[in-house]
Amino acid sequence: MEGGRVLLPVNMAKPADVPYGTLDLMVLRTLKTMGPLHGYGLARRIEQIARGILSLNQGTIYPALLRLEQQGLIKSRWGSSDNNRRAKFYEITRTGERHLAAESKHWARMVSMVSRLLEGES
Amino acid sequence: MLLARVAGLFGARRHPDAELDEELRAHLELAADEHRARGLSPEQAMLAARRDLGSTIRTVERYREQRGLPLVETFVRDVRYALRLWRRAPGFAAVVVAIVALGVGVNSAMFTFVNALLLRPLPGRAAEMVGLYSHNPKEPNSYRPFSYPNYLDIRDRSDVFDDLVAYTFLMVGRPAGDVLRRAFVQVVSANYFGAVGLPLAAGRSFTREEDRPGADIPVAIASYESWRDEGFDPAFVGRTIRVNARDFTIVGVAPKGFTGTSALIAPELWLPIGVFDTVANDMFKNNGRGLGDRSNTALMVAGRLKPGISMTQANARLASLSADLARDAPADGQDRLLTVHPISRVNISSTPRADTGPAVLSAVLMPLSGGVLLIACLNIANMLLARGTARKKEIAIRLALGGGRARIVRQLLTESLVLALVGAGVGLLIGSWTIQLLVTSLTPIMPMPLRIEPRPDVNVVLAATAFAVLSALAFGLAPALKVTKPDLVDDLKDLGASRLPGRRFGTRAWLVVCQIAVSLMLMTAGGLFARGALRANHADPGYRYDGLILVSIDPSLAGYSAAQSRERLRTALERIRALPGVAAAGANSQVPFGNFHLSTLVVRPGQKPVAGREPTYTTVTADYFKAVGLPLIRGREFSRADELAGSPHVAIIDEPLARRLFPDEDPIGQQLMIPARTNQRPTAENEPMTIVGVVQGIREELLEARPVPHLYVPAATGYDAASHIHVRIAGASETDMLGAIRRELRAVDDRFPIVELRTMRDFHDRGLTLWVIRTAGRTLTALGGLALLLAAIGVYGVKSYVVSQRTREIGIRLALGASSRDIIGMLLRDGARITLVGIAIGFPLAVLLGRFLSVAMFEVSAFDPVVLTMAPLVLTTAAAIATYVPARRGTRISPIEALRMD
Repeated sequence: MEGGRVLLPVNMAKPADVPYGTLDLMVLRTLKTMGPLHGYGLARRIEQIARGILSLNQGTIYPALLRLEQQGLIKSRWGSSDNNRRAKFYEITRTGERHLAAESKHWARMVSMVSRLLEGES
Repeated sequence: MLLARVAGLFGARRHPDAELDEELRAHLELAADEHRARGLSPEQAMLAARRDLGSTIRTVERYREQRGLPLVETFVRDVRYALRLWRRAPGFAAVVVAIVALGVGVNSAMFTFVNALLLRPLPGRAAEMVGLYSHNPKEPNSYRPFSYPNYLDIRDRSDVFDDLVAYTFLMVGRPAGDVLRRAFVQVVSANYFGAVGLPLAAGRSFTREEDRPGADIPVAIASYESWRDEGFDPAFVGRTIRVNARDFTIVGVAPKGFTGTSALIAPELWLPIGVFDTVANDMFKNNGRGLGDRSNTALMVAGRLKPGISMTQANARLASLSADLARDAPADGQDRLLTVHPISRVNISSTPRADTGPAVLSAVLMPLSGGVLLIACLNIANMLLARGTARKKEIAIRLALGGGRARIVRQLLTESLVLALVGAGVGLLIGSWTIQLLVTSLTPIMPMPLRIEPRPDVNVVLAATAFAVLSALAFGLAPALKVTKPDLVDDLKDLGASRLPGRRFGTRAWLVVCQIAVSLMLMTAGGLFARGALRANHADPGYRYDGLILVSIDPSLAGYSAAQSRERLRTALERIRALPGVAAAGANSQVPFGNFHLSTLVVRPGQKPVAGREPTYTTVTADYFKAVGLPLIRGREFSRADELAGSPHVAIIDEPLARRLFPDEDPIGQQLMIPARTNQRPTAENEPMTIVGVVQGIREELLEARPVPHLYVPAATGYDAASHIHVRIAGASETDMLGAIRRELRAVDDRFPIVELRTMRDFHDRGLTLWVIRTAGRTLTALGGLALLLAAIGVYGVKSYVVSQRTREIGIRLALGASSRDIIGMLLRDGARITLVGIAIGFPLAVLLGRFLSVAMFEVSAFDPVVLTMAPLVLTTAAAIATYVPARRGTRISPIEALRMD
């Protein structure tokens, strides 16, 4: 009786995992653009934008939200959704906006540096 | 922010996860709403929402880690879980704790020992002290102690030392009931305690006046321990005590556990330099010239270098001081070079010594005891693996539910860590009992009190904890990784139970192979040392111990004059010889295999010394050789006439010395002499002696393989140091004779200074070297036995597991007509394979280890055939028994039951 293993089918164009640290940036950006959102709305919004490029496990957004809140970059309060569900709403703080601005600049520099490097390689 | 997280850990515990739960519930509802809006049924909508959210468990876990101080919190949780778990499996936990405790216990005992020898910080500022040494750079081995005037010159004229102290060690006599007890004392300069930098527990230190050689002011500083034994009597300081039959006043009490500049040596009394001349026995008196004389080099010197002066700088400046002293005080300064070196922690010597001996000993002992810990770990790894296999279902479920692998591994590691720490705690207790036992067995036979703290200090506790953590990692990691290796479907489906073991030589079998190999090594080492100890027990110097009684007396301890001493010894010998049952009695100045050896250079007049070990120098009375039973090969024994003053100088040599000095001549009638030391006036001792006899050779020390040269001269006339009377008895019981001899000696003088009165066999049993050999033998045998026991447990564990895994197969075989004998045979054969592989690997390693240890072994070859056959045999037998028991149990099952199992 040979025990078989379940092998995942080799995934064609499997979406990449969210690069470490970028989720925070995406959350802050989304909150700045969209105003207060609940966790589900935030996850859906990021998913829509990242569709096909990144695979987001919706659950991972909650530890990230907690982390941002602990750092004082966002704040939360309980409220009602459009269809009258009780949910926790998140909102970017002043500190968060400053942090976002700085990190966006840093990110842009990193991206241009990495792409220059990759172009030079090819 | 940190505060918020700490608060998250300990603070308001109103359902810590409630808020997240509510948030996640909202998330799912919102998502389901959206899916429903797109036309899914409510059930399908909820399922889709759950799928999108992913593993809730992992989210909650990550969230928790983010909220609290993750490591601390999960650790606390894991520990609580582990404790709950082990409470449910107390038998398993107890066995693991016991195994760890033995492993750690052995190691912490060894470490306590190493700690005492090499690591424990010296008291006060003693660690800053360096030793001052004097030697003649043109001659090898020419280090010697200092004379008192020499010490003063250096103290007052050198500019490199802050505190220069002088000291030496002596044996004195203290009354103990009606006998005399030898006590180990240190004679110190007045600045000694100040230099070591610890305040006295009570009273005062010595004064300059008490320091002066020959001042002879009878004062003493007692040890803290002796004060404690008197219940810290406030009147203790000022009390008088008897030292060498004289009253000394206690003026102070030393600091607690004071060992001066050494790590272990704890004198029970300190005396000022001024009393040296009257307290020291003849051996150190330098023919009556007191400590004030430059020829009496009896002191060791140590000091603290001035701040900013390195050893190299100090040696450079001391070299120029040496030149000055050679000019100003040639008597003891000529051809001498002063140098500083670190002081040995364990040796008392006027020659600089590095502590390599103890370091080597530690380097040998620690890996051996580490081997026991290794086997213990392998064993526990095996047990945990077996248990982990049993828990595979639980773990598979957790993995399936989305528990992270790292998380589960951490939890499994915590479980083993908890057991390891409990085991280490118990091990510390075992270790300190072991050391206590060792110290107790050592104390009565040491010539000096040693201070080995059996209580674990910080170092030992740290070491034990390190052992525990290491063993937790060692025995927890492999099973944890193996058990959590995702093999999900298989494990969920049938839990791998009915699968036939494809590989018979799996991880667990290899663990057992390692254990067998390591235990074979330890058993072989133990066997070799045990054989050595057995041989050492029955060793003798070259004459029969049976029917021989030793009486050691030391007249100097009783304050006798030389004339009184000589008279007492003569009377005592006469009375003993007259006793019925005594065949012969004679005295000498040092006992072979004893703790004290004196040797001297000897030459033929007008010739250069012959290279080789200096002959042992022993004074003997008439009848000595007859008493011990050493046959004379040529010539005659000493007669009473030889002992008289004014008689011609005669000597007896033994075969090894005769072979060296007179290879082709007859030694009888030839002359020998002891050359006078440089810068020393020749005395009667240095006059030529005529050889009157040649005796058979004997060994002087237990560790020597063959007889060494001896020079025997007639008992000196004015000698008042220790004498040893050897009594050969015939036709009487040793016990009766001991009583009779004691009565005779008491009849000579009711305060006759008896230091030792016992049979030679008894004396041998209490030898220090023998103790070391025996202790090494016992320790290593115990380690080997422990290793054997652990290996047997390991084999038993694996075989029980194998049998339980193969129950079904065994059932089928039984149903098809195999006898239980066939089954047991099959399992035994399988087991023997593991054992044999283990022995095949362990045997060459054991021989290698034996070769490596052979420097420390007593008269046993590393290739000792008995040990090399017995160890594998015993191991194989033990393994076979450990296989047989579970195998037999396996065949007891009824075939029907076995087949129905799934």
